[in-house]
Amino acid sequence: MRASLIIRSFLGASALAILSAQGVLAQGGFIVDVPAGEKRGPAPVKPPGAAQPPAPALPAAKPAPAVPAQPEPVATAPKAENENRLAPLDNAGQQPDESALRYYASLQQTARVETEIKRLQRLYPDWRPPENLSATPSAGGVDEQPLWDLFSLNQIEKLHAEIARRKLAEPNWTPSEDLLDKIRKKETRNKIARLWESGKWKDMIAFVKEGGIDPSEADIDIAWTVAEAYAKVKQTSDALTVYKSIISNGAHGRHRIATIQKAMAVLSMKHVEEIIALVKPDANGRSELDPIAIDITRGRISAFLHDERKDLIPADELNKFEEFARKDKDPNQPGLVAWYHYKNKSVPQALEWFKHAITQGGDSMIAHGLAHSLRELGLYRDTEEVTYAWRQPLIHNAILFIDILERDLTKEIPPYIEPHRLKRYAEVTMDTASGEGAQGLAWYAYNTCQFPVALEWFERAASWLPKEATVYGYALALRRMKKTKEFWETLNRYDGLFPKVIEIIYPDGYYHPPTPCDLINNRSAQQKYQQHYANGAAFSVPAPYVAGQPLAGAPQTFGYGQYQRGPVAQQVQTPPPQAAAYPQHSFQQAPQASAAPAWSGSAPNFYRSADPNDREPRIDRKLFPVAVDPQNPLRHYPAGRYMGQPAAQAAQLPAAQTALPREPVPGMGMLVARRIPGVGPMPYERWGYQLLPGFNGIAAASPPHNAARAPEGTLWTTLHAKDAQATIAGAADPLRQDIAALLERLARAPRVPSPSASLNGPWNSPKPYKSREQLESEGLLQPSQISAGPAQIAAQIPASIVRTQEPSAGQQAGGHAIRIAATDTLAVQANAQYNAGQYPAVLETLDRRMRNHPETEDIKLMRAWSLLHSGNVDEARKIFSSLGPAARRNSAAAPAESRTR
Amino acid sequence: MIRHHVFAALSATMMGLFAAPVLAQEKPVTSPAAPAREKRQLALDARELPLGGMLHNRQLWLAYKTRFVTAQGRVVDTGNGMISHSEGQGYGMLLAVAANDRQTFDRIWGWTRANLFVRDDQLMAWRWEPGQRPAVADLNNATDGDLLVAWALTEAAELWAELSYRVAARRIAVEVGRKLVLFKTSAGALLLPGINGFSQAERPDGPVVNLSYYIFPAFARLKLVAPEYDWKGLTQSGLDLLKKTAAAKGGLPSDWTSLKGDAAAPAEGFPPAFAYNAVRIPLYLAWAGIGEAEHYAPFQAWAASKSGALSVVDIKTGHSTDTFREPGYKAIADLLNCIVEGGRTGSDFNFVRDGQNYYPATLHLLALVAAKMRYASCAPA
Repeated sequence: MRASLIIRSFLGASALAILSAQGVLAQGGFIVDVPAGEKRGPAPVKPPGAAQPPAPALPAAKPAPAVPAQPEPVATAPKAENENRLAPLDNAGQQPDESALRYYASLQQTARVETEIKRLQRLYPDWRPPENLSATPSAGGVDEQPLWDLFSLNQIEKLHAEIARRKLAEPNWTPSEDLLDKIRKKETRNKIARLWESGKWKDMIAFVKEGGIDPSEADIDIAWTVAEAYAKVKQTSDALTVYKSIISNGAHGRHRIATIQKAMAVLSMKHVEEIIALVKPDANGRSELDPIAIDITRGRISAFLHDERKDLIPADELNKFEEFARKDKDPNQPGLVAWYHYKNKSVPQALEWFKHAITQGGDSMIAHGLAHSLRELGLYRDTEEVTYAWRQPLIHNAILFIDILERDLTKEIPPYIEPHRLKRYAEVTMDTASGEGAQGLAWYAYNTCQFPVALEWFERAASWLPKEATVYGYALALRRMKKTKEFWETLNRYDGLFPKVIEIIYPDGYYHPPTPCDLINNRSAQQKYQQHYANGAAFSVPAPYVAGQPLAGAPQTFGYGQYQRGPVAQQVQTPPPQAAAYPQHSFQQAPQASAAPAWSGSAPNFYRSADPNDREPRIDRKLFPVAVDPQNPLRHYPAGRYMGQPAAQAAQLPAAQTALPREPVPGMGMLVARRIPGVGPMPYERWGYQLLPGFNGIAAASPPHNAARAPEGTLWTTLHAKDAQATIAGAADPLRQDIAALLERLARAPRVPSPSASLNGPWNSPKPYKSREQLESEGLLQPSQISAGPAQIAAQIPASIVRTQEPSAGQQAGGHAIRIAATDTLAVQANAQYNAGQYPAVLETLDRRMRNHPETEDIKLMRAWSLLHSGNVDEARKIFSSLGPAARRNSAAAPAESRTR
Repeated sequence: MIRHHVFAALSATMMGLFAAPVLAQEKPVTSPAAPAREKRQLALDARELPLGGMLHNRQLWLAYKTRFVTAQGRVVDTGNGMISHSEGQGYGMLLAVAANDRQTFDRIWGWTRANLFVRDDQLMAWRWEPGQRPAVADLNNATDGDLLVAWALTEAAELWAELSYRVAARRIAVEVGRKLVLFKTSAGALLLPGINGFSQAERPDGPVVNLSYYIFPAFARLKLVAPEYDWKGLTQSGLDLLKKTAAAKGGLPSDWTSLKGDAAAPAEGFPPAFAYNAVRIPLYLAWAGIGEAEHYAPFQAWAASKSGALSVVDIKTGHSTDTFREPGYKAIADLLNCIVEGGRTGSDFNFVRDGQNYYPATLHLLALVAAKMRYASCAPA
């Protein structure tokens, strides 16, 4: 029976799903920055002893700073109300405004002059009062005080009116140049502020350009604002020019630091580095940027995580940040270090940092990183615990929980899974209406001979995610449960779409070992089975389907796990069909749809078997093909929470209540299937049956459009290239060869809970799942509120690591003991990857390790076996031949099985 | 068939069966030099807003669902052989959330899961035809359908606090993010219209995109379920591409655009037309409240047509080749005319005419929802 054999290959898909659906974190540009939630945002600047973060540029929410942008001409004048929001940091590096001083001097107000000098000296310690103070202003006269008052009140319109009024009254009078200059500057500032506040960055840039305003000559807050506007409209090089000019023009002190901080907020780190490079360290290596060194490193790490930076962070710089992160109370700081190591594939370090971040109160996103690190190290059991404990509020963890156990559930010979784990898995599956979870439980039940409950789960899986593997399992379970009507209906419904399902009645003619359940009571199956192994047949998985190449021999549909032909199969080996290559872009003339019934055994056919012994099975034509309703009628809704009634019932509410119309095309479908783009040939085509042309006229079968494909340049292809081999490798299981052990394991298999028994779990409180907003508003997005679990789990993990490290000292690569020091983290990681069958990953890890450590013979042995598993025979042979006699002895023995789980 | 669906057109093209439309050329419809009448400032609203409950008019929704949604939950494309597709299921789910009609939402989602999720991944087969064996017509996906369903599930999860919707939304969104986004191209992140048939490797003029598959209001919300993907980047690349197409003659984008090299040109094998696909682009822009005057200008010029009929435009000549005949399309033009300061819509906007087909009726309801969400002065009371 093939049911269970197929599962293994689906495991491949599911394992990939885990690696990639969740593993987006591992590759490409999609690392989630630690502060994942919008609320968290980039961590605040908190270097010890650093300058206060600069006041933001224009959009600052705070009112005007204590020290105004321009000294007030009239010291006693009331401060302009929220003059505008241009808010520079302080006055370092700026020229003081002496206009008020000169004004008082012209009035001979000595006391005020002295006060003003003191005030300016306080603000500008380096400033010296001018010697020519007594020189009178060129214009304006002594009675400009009221005008300055208006100026300081920011009442520019009134000021203009007043000037006009006086000009009218005193035709010879003109305001002082100082005043006019100040008014112009203030008007420019005000205009820029208004444009900024209304988000009209482009208009603001146009205003600056038209007015000939050189930002680098303007007040620094104007310069910052203009630079930020450039950045907002993506004129990056202009923004960069302004920021650089601020540094080059001699701004110093905190302004330079603030400039870099502002640039970091709006530009990518790549550009910020250009500005940073303008600030040279002194002879002792000290830099004026030292106070924000931590921020800069944080920016660099973040850039690395977002693929904006390729280089690793220099070790001493990273060490400093790690030192800071270790002490910092904010869990996102160690979290950032953790993601950095994760991205850099230093998974053991990542794990340690994630654990630290969790103990500091890290959130579910940190837990997600923890879970992925555990998964990468092959610690699936711990991954399961972490993801279960943190399954909310972050659904990433719930999804990973479903996917991680799916691996084991869908194994052809399922491992023992404790009843409580099955129970909670079933509950989460029901709560999330997970097709993946349902088919996992279904296969587990099926492969442990629990057919009634298997059918229940398959039915749900087929209503939530009716992919080929699931419908195949559903059909098998229907047949086991003697649901004949539904069985044939399913086959007819998916005829033309799922070759694997049709193969149930049109088998491929190859030897498939019986399922474990078949073996229990079937002595002849047992004998045949043992005979098969006595003949030395090995299990292996064929190479995956390559688009555009003929399917040699085997009428394989997809890259499903099929066992190599044993002695029985070899007798019926068929030659490769001549025309069976799937044409990718060549198009056959579509057969006339009006031609004689295509369901005929006499027509010529691309996929026809050339083997006269390949006999067509006899199928009752009253059962297949017959016309059926093509709609899948299965519906199951999430665990019983629909408007107070069980969801499944709610879905069955009479149509009258919703006043929805009946199906407008109630036809029962056709007898003959049509060609579907993206589906391989149907098994019965070997006997000459033809399909109708597809909706687009296509006549030939085409390469599968399924999970095994994605366009070049997507993240998926990047991931898949690395993981494909690892997933395909290690498909065999030595248990298969030991019937006694197999039967013993089946006898111990735990009961799978039924869907209906999974409705009252801890997650199934009568209250509905809360939305993000609700959780936030109730302050529930705190890890401590989720459950007592996570902290306990985190505390348990060190023990788990020890558990895996101990056996690793004697664990096997290629079936032979490898000696690894527990402190050699990269070797430990490589060994874990080896045992998980991730051979390309092993090679990567060993390459990294080789940069700093010489390779022992044991490590070389691991490398050689990994090369061999990856198909690089020549390289493997080179290493084997370079090894000492003992190692060569080891390498000579072909490993029957390298997985030790 | 009013509307060349994408993949049908694609397949036809690949079959060499596609007949390029040769139609009498009429007067130019749009021209970049056409003087704007009174140039009013756009009054865009790009706030992040939930969709739930935004379709207030119960009568409109009732009329819609009793006409296009079967009791099984299938959304029927009445203008297209009564077939269904992932896009229609997505629109139906979005409108059900907007109408706060969970029962209908569950029916549509239930049908969608049971009938379109037949691939081995988390994407949908795009086309389903009743009365056929099998009913699924093609295993390829249509990315806009996947995005619409993921978005609708996200909104439903927010509105009804249902975990399973959120989980399903994430699974789809992640799959789109990792299998359909070319994340490092010179044009930024590109959204492929389907897994098969559009990439550089698969077409001489590839990659080919469909700018109406850039569902901007969805991008703004999918970060709720898949924050690790660069949805903002997709929005930006979509806007950048529109800026590119706006620079061409007439300024309107074609339904299908080849991005071979640095150019943006009508894709081979498709009519070089601003037609039934691209007509959704201005709807999505306004619905997301994003973009700038230059993004809207070509669409506003198109919408301001005085002849009363909206044109299908050959973008190579700038001439009209046909008209959008059913009244529903006009709702998009009404919305475009209204999203300026002090904008108002006419009474037609509030009233969805009976007897229309699925596509124009759907677009009309979507335009109403967009107005209600973001342009209060445009929305009916």
